[in-house]
Amino acid sequence: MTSLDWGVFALYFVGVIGFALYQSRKNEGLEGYFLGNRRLPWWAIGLSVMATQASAITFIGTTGQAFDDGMEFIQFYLALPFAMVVLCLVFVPFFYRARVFTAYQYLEQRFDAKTRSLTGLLFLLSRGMGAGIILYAPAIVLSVIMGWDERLTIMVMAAITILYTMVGGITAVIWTDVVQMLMVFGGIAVALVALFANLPADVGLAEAVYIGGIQEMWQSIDLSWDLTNTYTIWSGLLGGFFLFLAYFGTDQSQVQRYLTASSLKDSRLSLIFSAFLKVPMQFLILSIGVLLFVFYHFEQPPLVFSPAEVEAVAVSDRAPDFRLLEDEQARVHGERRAATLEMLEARRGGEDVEVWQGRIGAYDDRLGELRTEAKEIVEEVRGASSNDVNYVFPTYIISYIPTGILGLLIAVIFAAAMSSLDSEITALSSATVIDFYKRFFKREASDAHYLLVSRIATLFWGLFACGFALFAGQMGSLIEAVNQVGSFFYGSILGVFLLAFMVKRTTGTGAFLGLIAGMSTVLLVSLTTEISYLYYNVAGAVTVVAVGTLVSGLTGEGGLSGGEGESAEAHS
Amino acid sequence: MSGPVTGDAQQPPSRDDEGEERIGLFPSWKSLYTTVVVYGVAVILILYILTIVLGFSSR
Repeated sequence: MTSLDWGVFALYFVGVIGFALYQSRKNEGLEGYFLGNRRLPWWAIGLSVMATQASAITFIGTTGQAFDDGMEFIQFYLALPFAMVVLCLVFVPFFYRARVFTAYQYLEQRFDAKTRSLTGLLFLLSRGMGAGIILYAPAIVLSVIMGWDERLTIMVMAAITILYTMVGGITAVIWTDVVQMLMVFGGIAVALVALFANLPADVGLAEAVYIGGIQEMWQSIDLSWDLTNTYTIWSGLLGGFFLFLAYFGTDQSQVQRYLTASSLKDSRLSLIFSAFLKVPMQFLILSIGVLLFVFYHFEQPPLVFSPAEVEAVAVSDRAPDFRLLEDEQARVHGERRAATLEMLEARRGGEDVEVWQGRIGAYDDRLGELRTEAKEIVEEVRGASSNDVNYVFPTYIISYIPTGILGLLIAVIFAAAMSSLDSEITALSSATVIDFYKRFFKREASDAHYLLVSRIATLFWGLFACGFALFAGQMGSLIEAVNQVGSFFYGSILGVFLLAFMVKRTTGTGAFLGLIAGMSTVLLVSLTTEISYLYYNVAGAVTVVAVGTLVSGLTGEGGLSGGEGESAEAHS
Repeated sequence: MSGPVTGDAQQPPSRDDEGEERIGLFPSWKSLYTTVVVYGVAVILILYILTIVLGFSSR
């Protein structure tokens, strides 16, 4: 990066942190720290909801995914508008009226302490490690691409995030997220414009879209009934619907956001905001990947984008095989480039281009096969699956984006990571203090005491995430395991909340045993079937509701309002 | 805690929030929710049309 890039980069950080801390100056007490005194505007919360969901890997990983597989990933988000309506109608009113600090606190009001504690504990375990991965994933990519020290990158990102989160609490987090989300929108626009500008001068938008269409990269909807395929319209609508209900309706990192609104109306509007914007945003991010695919028809891409993976293969006994693949890739790419230019010329002259389409499609297929073979060599040498897709977009911006804009796009990647991390550590801190410290260790203390403990908890979780990220490189497949952990109990936790909101006679014991049964079912399904993980959420939620209702009916404990347990906070 | 628990933990949404309150351009919550659902369906249809129209594979 040049000094101009560094200047843009530094300006961004100083500006955004200063702005966030300025906005949080009026915060008072614990409610100010965790809920912004419930006076934040809905549009700011809505942007924060989006920023929390969109981590850096969403930005750099899904562009790489679209480069390889086209737009199919968009199906994952198609249920989001429908889920948001259900959340606004069913979930948000209960949380808002209960005046809770955390989603799990509501479960004690409704059921009992053990149900609250188990769900809270599951959140702390999964999100604590997840926060580490939010840091690690972009840091490793940036360090490899930019030549920065990996550990220093992690520590700088963590230190800045911990600083403004500790000092400013949720208000600083939400206002930082607002700026960071606007940065992401700007970054998407800049990336798209830059990609068009980097295409050959005589290749217009319609022709770029056409080239992508030859390999069916714009295929967004897959109607096939294949339960093992993660990206079909059915997995997106059914599995995605349950996943988004669980994520936005039961995960403290999202629930905490809409609890900061000044009214129930504003809480709902913050979610509706996301319902309208999320799918178009994801469409544009994936379009960057497809346009990268088009761009690399005219410029030769690396066979494998991750420099670390290429270096590992280069010093292995598979290096000769890899070089053969690279040579063939260069040859096929040259032929495809020539055929693409000829086809565009013929198309402009009104000629039939079907023959060229067939040839280019065959070249695309061959280049795809070569990339798959190369990644298989990488996996064999490294003993771990290739994460090459995360390097496709960063490699492009380093190689082809002009100075100044490069600094902006690197800042966007940082912003995306930090806007997710800050939300996670605030949510982890609130669950730690409200659901455990205040509930089990110190029920009566001053607001100042809880505020101090909350800041310490924020620091702890920030350092925990940083520590996890620093050692993540040595954890190998554990990273994948952590990524999958959420899908094992997300649906089950959703089931508990569905019981709380919709099945009046559910008892605390019924909900707790339902939760255990739900998680056991998901584990069984994952071990004995090949179905996509998106369906785990459906299996977990349905099992919890069925078992919870059955057990509550059999034990006959009543269980209308308040259930077996009464909230400790109710008496404070 | 400054935000004490109020009322029944399993209280249903009251009618005042579901009523005919105007929400920006929308005359009521019902019309806003309907718009979101219609929007969700329209997005799927548009993406399906793009899938058909922008598929140029001749194989």
